[in-house]
Amino acid sequence: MDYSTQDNQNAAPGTLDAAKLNGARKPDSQSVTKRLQTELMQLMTSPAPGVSAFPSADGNLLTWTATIEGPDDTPYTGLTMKLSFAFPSNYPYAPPTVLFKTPIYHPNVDFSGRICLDILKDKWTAAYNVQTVLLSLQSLLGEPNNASPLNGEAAELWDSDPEEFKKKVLGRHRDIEEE
Amino acid sequence: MFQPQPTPFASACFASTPYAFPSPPQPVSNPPQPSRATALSYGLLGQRLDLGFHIPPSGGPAHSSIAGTTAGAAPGLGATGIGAAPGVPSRGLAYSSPQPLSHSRPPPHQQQQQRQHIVSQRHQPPVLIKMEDSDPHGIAAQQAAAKDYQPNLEGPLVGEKTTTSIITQEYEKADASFVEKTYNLPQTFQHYRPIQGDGNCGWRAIGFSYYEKLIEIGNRSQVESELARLRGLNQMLPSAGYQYWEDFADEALTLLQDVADNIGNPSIAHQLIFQRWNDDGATQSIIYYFRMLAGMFLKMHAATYDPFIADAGGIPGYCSSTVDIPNKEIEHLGITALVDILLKPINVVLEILYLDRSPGPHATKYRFPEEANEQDESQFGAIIYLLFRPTHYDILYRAPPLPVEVPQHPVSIQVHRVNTYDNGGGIMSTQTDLGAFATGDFSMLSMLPGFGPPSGPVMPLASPLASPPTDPLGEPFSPASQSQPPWAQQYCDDLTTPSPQSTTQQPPVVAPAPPSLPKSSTPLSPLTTATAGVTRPAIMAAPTSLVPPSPECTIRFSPMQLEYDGSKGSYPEPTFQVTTSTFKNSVWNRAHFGNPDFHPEEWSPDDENVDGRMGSRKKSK
Repeated sequence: MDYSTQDNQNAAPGTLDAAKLNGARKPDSQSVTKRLQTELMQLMTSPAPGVSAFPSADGNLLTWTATIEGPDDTPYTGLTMKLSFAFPSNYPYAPPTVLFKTPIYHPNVDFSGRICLDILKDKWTAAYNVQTVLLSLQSLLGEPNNASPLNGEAAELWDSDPEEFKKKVLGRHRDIEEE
Repeated sequence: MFQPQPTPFASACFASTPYAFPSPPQPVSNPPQPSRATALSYGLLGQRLDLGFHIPPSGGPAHSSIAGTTAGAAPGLGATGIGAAPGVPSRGLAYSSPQPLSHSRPPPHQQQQQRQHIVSQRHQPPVLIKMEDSDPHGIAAQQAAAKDYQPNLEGPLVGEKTTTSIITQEYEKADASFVEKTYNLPQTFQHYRPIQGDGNCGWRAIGFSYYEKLIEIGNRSQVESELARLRGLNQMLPSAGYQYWEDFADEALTLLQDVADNIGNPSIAHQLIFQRWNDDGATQSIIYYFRMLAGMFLKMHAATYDPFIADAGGIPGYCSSTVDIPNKEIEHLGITALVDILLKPINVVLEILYLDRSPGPHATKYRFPEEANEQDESQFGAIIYLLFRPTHYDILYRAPPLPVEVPQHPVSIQVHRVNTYDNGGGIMSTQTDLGAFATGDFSMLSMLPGFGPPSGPVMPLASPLASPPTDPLGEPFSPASQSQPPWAQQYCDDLTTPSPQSTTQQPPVVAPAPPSLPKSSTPLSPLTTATAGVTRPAIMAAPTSLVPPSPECTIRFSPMQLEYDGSKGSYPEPTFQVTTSTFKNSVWNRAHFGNPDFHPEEWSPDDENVDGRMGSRKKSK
């Protein structure tokens, strides 16, 4: 086994797994497309409050752009975060790669926007979908998992100094242009 | 990052060659006391070796020289990585329990040095240091490596039926308990179907068998009622937390519908499910559909199964961490749920044979559902057999009980020809009445290897399934039981007495009914030797005074066939080289009077000059 790939700890979560699973399974893009169309349909007919997602403008159904509105009573109130979804060819049997495009200060998100969330890694099930992922991320904004932080300072400040935390959140946040 | 670490198994080879590492000459010096204690404690740990066997008695001038050189070896090793003084205290702490022992009973100085020498040589202390110092790191690295490890998956998702003797061979050199169990496996289960071990094997094996059993049961209305039942279950999936079930269910139900449509043609249906289960997209969907069904069943019966879950998450947590995860192996709870929701309604029982190291000659059986373990097999509609080897499931197939024992000896093919030849004679006698010319040809064809009628008893190499039980000739050949002319029976009986195995081979040569002989011998003439032709008329002339044919009486049905030696049929090695000096005087040598084919040695002028004294005995022919 090639252990050099293991050094890649800071790689975006999910990419490694997805790549390996792609190697083991031959792509079945037709069923992925079908599944994503179903999900898109459901997102449009019964949208969940505070989250939305849509395929990217380039016409590739395998990459989506999503938005999450910061939940009330959290440091992220009033902010809108953009995310990117990249679906592997064996979706939904492997998780999508999700990144924060908007700079965000959060214990479980690093400065490149990579997210540490178990359901995007080894706890992924084919029963999850874009909407459940977005809702999970939304709740992660208000309830970070400080036990395994990607951003150690944020994890510390969350408990010790909420004021400073809020200041850092607002300082880091900037709305990005529509691509 | 991760480096392969020597494992404790390494000590086994050290123990077998205790002095394999010569100690380099080093300046003699007394090692520091803590180091000695540590070295002792390693040995006293008992994990690696028993010091008692290897330590010579203490004291004595004879040992001082050894002690001198060995004492020097310790610092030398320390320089290479023992970490003589600084590293020692921490290690001593880690192995604190043996230390009091070594303090309370300090051995004589020389013995200590001796021990240290042995211990340091045999233990390779750098191994211990590395394992200890890098423990957290090493374990983390190994966990990370294991998490992302993807085995090299070979073979199809669902393989073709294969003979189980392959499994026996696979375990030939394994633990004795495995050998015994796998050796007994083919007696009950002649075939198995290899399933790819990608983490879905249990789900795949049960799922595939579900379709297979439906085909075997062959009841269209049952399949259609299954369709209706599953459609009803689908409506409850969202309430169990499975929002997106349509795609998965579609694939499974489409295949079920296809099975229903082809239920009248099982071979097509079997091929259909084999193809579909080897199609990647389809098989993933169907398996995930079954995962959802099992998950839903568990959630519906959460009260029953909650006590089995140790985690706080209960059944929902178990489902989302085990059942719902793609490529995650099935566990007992998953099997229970799947059997209950999928197999129980069609009265199919799942029997799993656990191939483990438990004592006993057979793999441990367990049936799902549990109550089926006490019930008789006749109560079940069908049984799915799975073979469980740690972490892997394959499907087993039980062949219908064979009416005959398959003879092991290769020459039994010729036994078959004998039988049909006799029958041919009988048919020929009726030929004049019916004019059934084809029967004559048929019996002739059966003389040729591989052209025999599909009768079970005589084809040891054919698969047991290929022999239909309705075979008219489906009885083991026994010369006495055939309807034969009295003279032929007597002949057979005569031959049965000395050796049953060789008798069965005689009739092709001698048994043809007289009227058929001229006809049948004509097509045979290129295949039979001249001596055979000579023998037959002799038998006809004097059928009651039969003499076993000479060894040269040979019928060669094919040029590729081993030479058929009538009186020597029980010896598998006609070409066995017995004229070497080792075997020259054994009964295997034809020149030995005890050999059934006794033939004295003959002088050959060609041998005269080969090897002086023994030259004439080299060749017996």
